[in-house]
Formats: sequence, C-alpha cells, structure tokens
Amino acid sequence: MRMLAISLSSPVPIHDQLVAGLRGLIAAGTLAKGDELPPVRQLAADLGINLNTVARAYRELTDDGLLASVRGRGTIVIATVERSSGPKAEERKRIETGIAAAFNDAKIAGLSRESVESIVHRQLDRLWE
Amino acid sequence: MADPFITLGRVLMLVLVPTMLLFPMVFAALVPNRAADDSARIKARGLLLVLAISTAVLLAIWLGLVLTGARFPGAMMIAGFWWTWFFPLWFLLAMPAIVEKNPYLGWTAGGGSASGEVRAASLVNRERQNPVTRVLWSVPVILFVLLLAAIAARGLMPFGVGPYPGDSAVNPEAARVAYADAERSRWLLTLIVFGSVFGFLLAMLPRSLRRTLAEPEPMDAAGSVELAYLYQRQRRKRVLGLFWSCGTVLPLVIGTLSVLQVWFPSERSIWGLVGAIGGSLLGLGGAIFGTWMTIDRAKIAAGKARVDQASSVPG
Repeated sequence: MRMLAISLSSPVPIHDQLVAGLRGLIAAGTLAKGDELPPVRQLAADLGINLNTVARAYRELTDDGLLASVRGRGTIVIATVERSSGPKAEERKRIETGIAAAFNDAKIAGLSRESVESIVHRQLDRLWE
Repeated sequence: MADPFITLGRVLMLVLVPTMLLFPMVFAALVPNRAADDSARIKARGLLLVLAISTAVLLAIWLGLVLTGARFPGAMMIAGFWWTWFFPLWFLLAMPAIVEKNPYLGWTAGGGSASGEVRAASLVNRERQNPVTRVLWSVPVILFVLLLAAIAARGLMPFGVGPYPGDSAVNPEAARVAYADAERSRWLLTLIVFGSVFGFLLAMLPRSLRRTLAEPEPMDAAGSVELAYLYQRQRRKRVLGLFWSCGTVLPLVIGTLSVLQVWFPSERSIWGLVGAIGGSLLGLGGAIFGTWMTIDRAKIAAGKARVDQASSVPG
C-alpha cells in the first residue's frame, strides 16, 4: 500500500514534509507516471491537517512538473524516474545546488564525514538499488 | 364539523414549517467555529448572514400566507408546502457555511480522526473505489422519472369528478368548480414540489457521496492491511446506506404517497397519516443506521489505537 507519513513533532514544517514525502515516493518509483493522488480534502482529513497545506504542496509539485491536474481524474503523477535523455542542464544545476546546500547544513550542524557518508549511502541505496 | 385529520395537519404545519425553516440557521450558528483560516472565517460569516436574511424573509412570507389563508385557501395550500425551502436553505447556504466553519464536523463521531504525533495516510484515491456504479445510478433516476410521470399523468384527467365535500345543496355547480380548482392547484403544487425537491436531492447526492468517501481514515505508519480493510468495509456500508436511503427509499415513500394523494384526493387525510408514520419510520431507520455506523467507527478507532500502541512498543 502506498503510504505518506508526517510527524507533528518534527521541526520541519508539515508542508515541507508533504512535498519531500511525495518527491521521495516519486523518486523511489512507488508513485509512477499516471498514478492518481487522493483529493486534497481526503488527504487533509486522513492526516488531520489544514486543506490549504495539502493544496499548497500539490501546487508546488505541479509547478515543479511532477504532478498535474487532469479533468475527471484529479491530481496525477506526470514525472517519471525512467528517462532516456537524462536531466536537463538547468535541472542538473538545481539538484547540485540543493545537494551543496544540504552538505553545508551538515557541516554547520557538526556532522562528521563518516556520518554524512553513511547518510549519502543510505539515500543512494534507497533509490539506486 | 371539521375533519380532525385536516385540523391535525394544520396544527402540525404551523409547528413543523417554521421549525424546518429555522433549523439550518440555528444548526449552522451553533457549529463550533474551527475555520481553517481568516478567509474561511469571513466566507462563513457572509454565508451565515445570507442564511439569516433568507430565513427571515421566508418566514415572513410564510406568516403572510398563513394569515391570509382564511380568505384565500390557495395561500394556505402554498403555506403547507413552504417547508420545501428547507432544502435550498440547508444545501446551498447552511452546509457550505458549516464546511467553512468546521471542515471536519461530524467526521469524528465515534472517534477516528487523525491524532498523535506521527500521522499516516494511504495515497489511494477513494473516489475510484465508490461502490455506487453508473448502472446503480439508473435505479434512483428511473424511479424519480416514473414517480414524476405518475404524478404528472393526473393532469391529463379531468378534476372534480369524484365525491367532494362541497355544499351541493346550495349551488352544486359552483361547489364542483371550486373543488375542481382546489384539486388542480393541489396536483400542480405536488408536481412542482416533488419534482424540485427530489430532483434537487438527486442532483446533490453525488456530492454527498463524494464527501462521505473523503471522511478521514487515518492509518498507522506501517499501513496495516487489516485496518485498510476495516475502513473499506465500513465506507462501503456508509456510502451504500446513504445512496439507497436518500436516492431510493425516501423518494419512493414520499413519491408513492404523492401519487396516491393526487389520484385519490378524497382519501387525502389517510395518505397524510400514512406519510407521517412512514416518515417517522424512515427517520427512526436513519437514526439506527447512524448509531450502527458510529459504533462501527469507534471499533475501528480502537483497533487503530491497538496497532499504534503495538508499533510504538520497543523491541
């Protein structure tokens, strides 16, 4: 069963958790191209959170080209992890900037090289078996 | 001496019509305000204001109809059907206001709303698991059309030909014409009321079913298959219960009585009594179903609590 979980005690805002969770499921291939997502009201009710938070997360992922609103089908996944051409140059740059920012955060937070390596390996294993 | 059934009907009308007109406004006003944000709060306030004004205007018109009813029997007849304004007041104004004020009202009955630090949801679109299929929809649609046609067909026959309680000794022809006019008016009003009320209910039913499908089904983080099954089973019962009761049983009972009233008007007081008993039984059935669903929901909530507890125990 495809599940999405959030933690209310996490310092990460709920909206960011939703976006990251859905991105993670798409990246892992759990959510594939053409899969339907639940309506905003349903997901908000199940998680007991504000409708607008879910709507904003869907909108952000739609703007990023991962989701789309289709008449009669609701919100569907349009991104796919299997691309023959590979990422575009600007997409690659955006990803590199994101990774660099995460490494900076790790360094500032005082994580050791070994800890960072273990996190990186865990994430690599999660997505590239 | 006046027919006791008609007197009883008048008294009931004087109590029930204002109660039904006031109910949406009172209920919406009493709902605890848990609006999601300021824009929802402002929208809810606006809808409540429109609801209050509409209710006041409708009550004033109804009172006017009742007061002039002694001189104009047609006015009293319209006043008797004035309760049908309940539906637009409830569905078009009160319900949207309630949703803005408190989006999850009623969904927590018997427990089951999301709680706790870690919350999980299935990403299945439940609208795709709607047990009401297109074929099933044909049942209430055909039923509605048949009942409406049966009421409408009465208009093809002459009015005022059967036994009537007119003062035939003084002026039999005038009494017959007056009775025929009253019978025709009552038929036309029944046709309009049944068509508009149940047409409206039928149009609103898909929306109500969608809302029922979106009721919260908080999952455990591991996505327990048993829990998902219990939710699915309960959802199915709830959706089908709502579909059959509002889409079929209710129009069938009210429609059949309306058909009998327009085709056999001399027995109208009996049909009224049968309608009151039938309506009460329907209400009772609805209450029993609601209680059953609430108990069912509480059982699922208890099951989820056990699953959550088991997964939080270390080792």
